[in-house]
Amino acid sequence: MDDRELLIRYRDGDLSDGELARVEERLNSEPGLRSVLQSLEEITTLLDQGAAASFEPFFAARVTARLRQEKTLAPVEGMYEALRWIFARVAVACLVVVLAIGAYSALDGGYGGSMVDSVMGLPEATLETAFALGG
Amino acid sequence: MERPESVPDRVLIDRARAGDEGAFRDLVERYEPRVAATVIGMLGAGEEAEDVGQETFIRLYRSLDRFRGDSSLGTYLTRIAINLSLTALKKRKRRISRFVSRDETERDRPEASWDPRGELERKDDIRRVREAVARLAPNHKTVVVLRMIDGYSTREAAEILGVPVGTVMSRLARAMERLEKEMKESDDG
Repeated sequence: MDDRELLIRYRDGDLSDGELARVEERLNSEPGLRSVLQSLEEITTLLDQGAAASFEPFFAARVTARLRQEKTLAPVEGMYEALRWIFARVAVACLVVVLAIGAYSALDGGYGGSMVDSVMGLPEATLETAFALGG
Repeated sequence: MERPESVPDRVLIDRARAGDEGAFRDLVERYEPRVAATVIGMLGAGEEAEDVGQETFIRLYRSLDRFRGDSSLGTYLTRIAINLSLTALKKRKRRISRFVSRDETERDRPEASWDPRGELERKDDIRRVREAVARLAPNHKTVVVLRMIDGYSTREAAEILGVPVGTVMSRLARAMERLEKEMKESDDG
């Protein structure tokens, strides 16, 4: 423990009887230690005197106004959260359905020539089928 | 008519939980001095401190249902205020580091002796010590604010910060040494 820690504990009244006697003896004989204690006292007093006791006037009113504002916004934020939750689940369900239809189409084999056409369920596009579609 | 200052915290907390805005406002008024001392001690006066002060009480309101009273309301609020202040200091450091070079913030300064002055210059001394506190490292600043400004004991400060008592004491000693040095230097400067 260094001298400052010792002096802080001395000011706090946190020393044992033996430690207290030794510190007081040193304070009587060591001007340097007395100077450190004096600085410690002075800075402690300045910190205490300089402590802010309040924010700007009407702080409590500003806090309660902010709280009211947050309460007003809370239901809207709750609604957004609920919509986001629903959308995420609907999107996953749609993806599963699309993949299932694609897999069925691909395995069915009754559609176009390429794998992409099969997955998409598209008929094979040839000149004949184009003419047929045109009537 | 019930005087707000005579109503115990526990009663005001229960009323605030039940949605009584007036009770919550009484709590804010009751603990504003303590939170202001902590937050302004950590951040200095200004918009940032005001915002952190408000946020401290908003966090309290949100956590009213969870507050079991294991620690006093004052200690609970101080803990919130210290954590929010430290977060604000980190953000501030990130902002400042983009513009200020390290050389400008950490100059080598000569040793000097500090001569405490009379009452006429007390205000100037207070301003200088506040500025010196503002320049302390966050973990040193925190113990100075808790011990020397908020008036917590070393043990209470250790509990609030979740660190050993010895750590609080050594940080405090280093911080006080730094403050003393800064005061001496600004006396000479």
